[in-house]
Amino acid sequence: MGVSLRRAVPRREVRPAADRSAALRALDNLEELIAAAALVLVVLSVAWGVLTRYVMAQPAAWTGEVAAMAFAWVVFLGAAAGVKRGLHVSIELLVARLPDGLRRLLQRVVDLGLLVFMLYVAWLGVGFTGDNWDNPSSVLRLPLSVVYAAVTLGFALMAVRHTARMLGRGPVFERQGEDP
Amino acid sequence: MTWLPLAAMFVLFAINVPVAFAMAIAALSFFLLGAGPPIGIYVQKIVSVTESFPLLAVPFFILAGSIMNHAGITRRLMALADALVGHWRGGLAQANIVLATLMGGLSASANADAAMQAKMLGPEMVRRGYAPGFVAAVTAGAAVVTPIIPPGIGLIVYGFLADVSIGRLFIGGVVPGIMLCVALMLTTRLIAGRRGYKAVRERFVSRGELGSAFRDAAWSLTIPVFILVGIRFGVFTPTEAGAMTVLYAIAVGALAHGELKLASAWPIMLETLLATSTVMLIICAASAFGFYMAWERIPPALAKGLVALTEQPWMMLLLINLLLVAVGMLLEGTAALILLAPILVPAVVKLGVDPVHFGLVMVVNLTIGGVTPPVGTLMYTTTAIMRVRMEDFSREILPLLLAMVAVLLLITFFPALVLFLPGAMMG
Repeated sequence: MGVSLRRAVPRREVRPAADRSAALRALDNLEELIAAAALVLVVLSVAWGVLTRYVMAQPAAWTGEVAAMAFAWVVFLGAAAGVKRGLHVSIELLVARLPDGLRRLLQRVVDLGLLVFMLYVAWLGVGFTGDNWDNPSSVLRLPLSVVYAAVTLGFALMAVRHTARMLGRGPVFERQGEDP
Repeated sequence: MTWLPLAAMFVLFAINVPVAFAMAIAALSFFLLGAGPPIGIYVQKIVSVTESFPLLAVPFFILAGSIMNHAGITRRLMALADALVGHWRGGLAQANIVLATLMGGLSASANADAAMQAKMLGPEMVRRGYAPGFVAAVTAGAAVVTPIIPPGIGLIVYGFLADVSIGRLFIGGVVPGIMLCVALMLTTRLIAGRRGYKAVRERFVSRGELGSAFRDAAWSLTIPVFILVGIRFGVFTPTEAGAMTVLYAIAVGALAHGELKLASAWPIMLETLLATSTVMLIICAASAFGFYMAWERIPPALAKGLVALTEQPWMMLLLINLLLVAVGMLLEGTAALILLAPILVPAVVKLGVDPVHFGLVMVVNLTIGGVTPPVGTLMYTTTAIMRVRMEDFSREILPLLLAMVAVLLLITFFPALVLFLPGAMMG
C-alpha cells in the first residue's frame, strides 16, 4: 500500500550501535508488541471473513475463531501493559482524604493484595492451559490452551510489572492522551 | 454470605483498588468462600468475554478513530466546520462543537478526540481572546457529543450487556447527538454574545470555498453513512463494519490523503490496545462478578427493590438519572456503565421502558459525567492540555452542563426522540 517507509528506514541505519538498547526497549514494550501483533490478526481475520462472504462462494469459517483467540491476547497482554503504565481506573477520591502516613500504609497493603491476586490467577491459568491441551477448538481443531495461555501470561506479566512499580523500578512512559 | 462479595467490591473501590481488579477479586471471593460452583467457572467467565464477537467492535472503532486522527482527517473536518459556522459570533467555539459532532460519525471514543481538539484549537482560541477556562469547557462539552453520534464505545458495551441490537442503538444515537450539538451551540452563542467573542470572518464563505471544504472532507463524511447503511441493509454486522472502517481509514489516509505514514503505526496501535484492554478487563471481571450475582439472584432482588420505590416509568427514569449523575461523579463512565447496566435494565424493562431508549439515556448521562467534577476524564484531559485550573473549568462548564442536562431530560421523557429513527429505518 502507499504507506511511506521514509522515516522508518534511516533511523535504523544511523544508529547501529543502539542494538542493545533496542533489545531492552523491546523488552520494556513486550506486552505491547505481542498485543499489537494480535490486534492486527483480529482486524485482518474479521475483514477476511466479510470479504470472502461477498467475493467467494465458500466463506472462510475459521475467521471468527482466529479473531476470538487473538482478541484474548490483545485483552490480557494489553491489560498487563495497562498495569505497567498505571492506566487502570480506580477511585482515588476517598483515600486522598486520609492522612499521608495512613494512606501510604493502605496503598502498600492494597499493592500486596493485588500482587497475590495476580499470581493466583496466573497459577489458575497454568492449570487451565495444561488441562485444555487436548481440548480442540470447533473449527481449526487448535488446542484451547491458546486462549488460556493468554490469561496465564497476561496475569504473570501483570504481577511482574506491578512488582516493578511497587519497587519504583518499572520503565517510565509518557502519559497517554497528552502526546500527539 | 449472599451479599459479602458485593460489599467486598464496594470496600475495594473505596480503598483505591482499580475497578477491574476490585470486581475480579470480589467475584473470586464468591468462588473461594464456599458452597458455590467450582473455581474453573471463574476462569472461564473471565476468558469467555473475549470470545464475544459483538465486543470486537470496541477495538475496531477505537482503531479507526485513531487512524483518522493520524491521517489528516480531523484537520479536513475542521476546515469544513470552520467554513460552516465560522461567521457566527464565537465562531471558533462553534466550529469546535461542529467538529466534535462530525468526528462523532467516525470516532468512538470521546477522550482521544477531546485531546486532539484541545491541542489543535485551544491555543488559537486563547490567542483570539477566549478565556482558557471556557476553551477547556467547550472542548470537553463538545466531546460529549462524539460517542453519542454512532459509532460509540458506550453504545457497543451497553448493547452487549443488555443484549440489545447495537445497530438500533447506533441509529438511536443520531437524534440525541444532534440535539446535544444544537444545545451546546445555542449556549455558546449566548456566552459569545455577552463576552464579545468574535466571528472568524464577516460573512459566510463563498460557494467555491464551501464546495472545496466539502470535497476535502468527502472521504471522511461518507464513513458514518457507510456504517449505518451497511448495518441497516444487513451487509455487515456492527463488528464487521468496524473492521471495514479500519481498512477504509487506512486506504483514505494512505492513498486519498497521502498523510498516513508508517511511523504512525506504533502510536496508533498503542493508543488502541491500551484503551481497549483497560475497558475489556473491566468487562471480563464484570462477567465473573455477574455470574456470582446471577447465582445469588441479586439483580432480580435489586430490580424488585427499585420497582417497589415507584411503578411510574418516568419517575423511575428520573431516579435512575439522579443515581447515574451521583455515580458518574465518582466513577469513570464506562466502568459505571458496565457495573450498573445489568442491574438497572431488568428493572426498567419490567416497567415497560424500551431497552434501546434506556441505553441512550444511560450512555448520555454517564458521558455527561465525564465533564462533572470531581471525577471526569474529559475534564482531566482538556484541563491538563490547556493548563487550566479545575475551578475555572468548573465555573465555565456550568451553563454548557445545564444545556446538556436539558437534552438528557428531553430524551428521558420523550422516548420517541430516540426511538423514532431506528423504528423508521429498521421497522
